Amino acid sequence: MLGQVFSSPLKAQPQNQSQTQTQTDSSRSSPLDLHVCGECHGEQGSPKDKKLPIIWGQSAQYLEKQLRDYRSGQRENQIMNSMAESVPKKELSLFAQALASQPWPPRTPIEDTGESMSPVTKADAQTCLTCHAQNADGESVYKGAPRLNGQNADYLLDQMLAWMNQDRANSEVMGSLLRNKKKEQLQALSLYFAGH
Amino acid sequence: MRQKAFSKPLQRLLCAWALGATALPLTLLAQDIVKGKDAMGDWHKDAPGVMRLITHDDIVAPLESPSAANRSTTVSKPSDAQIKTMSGFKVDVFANNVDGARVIRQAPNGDIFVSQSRPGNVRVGDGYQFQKGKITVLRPSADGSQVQKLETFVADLKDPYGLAFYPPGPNPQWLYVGMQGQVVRYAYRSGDMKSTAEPEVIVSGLPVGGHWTRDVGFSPDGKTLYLAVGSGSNIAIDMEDRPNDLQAWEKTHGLGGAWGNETDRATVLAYSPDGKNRRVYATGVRNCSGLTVQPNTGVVFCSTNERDLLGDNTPPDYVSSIKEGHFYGWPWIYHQDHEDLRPGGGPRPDLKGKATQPDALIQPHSAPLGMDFNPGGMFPAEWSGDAFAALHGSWNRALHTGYKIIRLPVKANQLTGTYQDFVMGFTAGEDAVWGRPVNVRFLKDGSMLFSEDVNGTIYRVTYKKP
Repeated sequence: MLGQVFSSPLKAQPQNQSQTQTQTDSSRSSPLDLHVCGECHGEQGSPKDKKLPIIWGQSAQYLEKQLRDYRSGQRENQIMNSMAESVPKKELSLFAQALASQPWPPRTPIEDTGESMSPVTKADAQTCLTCHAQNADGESVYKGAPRLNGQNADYLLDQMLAWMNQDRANSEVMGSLLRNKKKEQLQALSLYFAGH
Repeated sequence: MRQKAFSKPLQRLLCAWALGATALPLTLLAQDIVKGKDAMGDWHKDAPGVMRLITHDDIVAPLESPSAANRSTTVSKPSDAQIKTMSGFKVDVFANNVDGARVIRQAPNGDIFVSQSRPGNVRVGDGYQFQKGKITVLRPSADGSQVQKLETFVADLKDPYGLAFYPPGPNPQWLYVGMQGQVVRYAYRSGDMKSTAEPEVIVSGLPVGGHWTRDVGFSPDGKTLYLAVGSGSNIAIDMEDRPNDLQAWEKTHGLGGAWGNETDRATVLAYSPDGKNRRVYATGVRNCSGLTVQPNTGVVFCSTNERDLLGDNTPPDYVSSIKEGHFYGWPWIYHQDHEDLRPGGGPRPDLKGKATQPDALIQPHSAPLGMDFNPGGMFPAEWSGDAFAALHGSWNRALHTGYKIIRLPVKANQLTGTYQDFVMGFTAGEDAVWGRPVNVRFLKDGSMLFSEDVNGTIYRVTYKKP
């Protein structure tokens, strides 16, 4: 079991890197690279835990803002607060671009419950598309808006609920848009975008 | 240092236990201590009764092993999962569906108050319901084994965590609640299960973001309110330039007091019970998420998660007495004299050796959260006064560790530095866990409750001499 873990390419790279860094710069080193992200967000960009977001191929501008917000504590998550801190500030932009340049993983088709395509959902979705672009792949309309198309449904729902309840507050627009939604609406929307 | 993890007799016992015995003899195992690197195993090597000792000399260099991200996935209790503990002890479910259960406190009348800090998205039927934080009261049955009545004391709170009744003693008039941004108190009369009046704000303007578990406690004489304020970040990497006059700064903010966006964070603060007379009691405690006052001495204790991303086996977390005016290292130093060069604002080699060495070192990344002292009355007599702590479990480690309740022996009112695996079994393979212990609290009858926040369960541990 041990062998498996330590021989995986995921672990091998940070090990080599950290050894050299330890020699030159004691503890002021950055053990974080894209492989480390992959341990939770998926080695091929598809997280095992569907409550976590796909970050490969995500908008670079969005990723950079999230990393900055995790560093400053404006967006809160114990693991991500530490992780984002370990990317040197001047490398945040490059780091986000490196993640963004990875291919968005192939979508896992999800079962459409029917509810996700209701007229209400379609109308709601149109509002989202104003910023998240016509095919919800982010970027083209509002530069900081993330891709929603094909994102994990559980993650989307969690985030929308967090916006609604002001547990996530690092965008004024999202906070105000989601304040008065019903949970059933949000659930339908999350399925709609995940399976879009 | 011992070269192997377990002695032969101990191995035999472990085999016997693995083959079906549910608990291990207490006395024999208590004599065997795994030390240093051997004590830094993983969940495979956890077994009820194993004693561990990690000392200052055992601290390994940063990044001797890579820094791993190995977040546990959380699952429902597998059908074959079994909680393990020591001989004579029994662990039973006391309450289910207490989502996000965190700190537990017993009122003098026996009612049990639980902060459900972040219940989160609770599945209700086919949909979700998002719940903000709340405080729940559980009234135990006459024999203490079950919940007879459950009420919500107060709901819709932002990150309620620490709970303390005031004044200490048999007739408290207030329940103090530590939340991320403030400390409030609710009027309380014995038997209240629902709050009827608006809370009174005692401390406002606490920092928001980063570590949010604001634990609270009172000195035995009721004159001092202690409040834990964890750091805003892992290692203060974005902390601004240092103050011009560092000496003057430390006069107000304490030796090694952080500045900029970390001002007065990683501290234990002290106040009068009305929220006045604020002072920095101790500095450099990264995140005291289990602030507990030792009943017979009035000494403040903290269980603390140390910094991340320095590799699997460094630095140890700790459970320790926290002395007034002392500096415990964060962010520049860990464990007395190990320098960390990552914080913003430049290095502080002047603090090397000035940080107080914590009492009991816990395997790195175990994540001790709540702690309490055993008042006696049920557990073995020789365990009276011992400390117990809940280890929430690791993420920043290749193989999981923690996810258990430990006992920390106390001699002459001081931690001995050793600790013992006491209740475990929440891991389900390399990735998944079905329980993450959060808080331990002894009840008046000497039994112990502990909470876990994966499935929202509160367990009761009882003991009968075998």
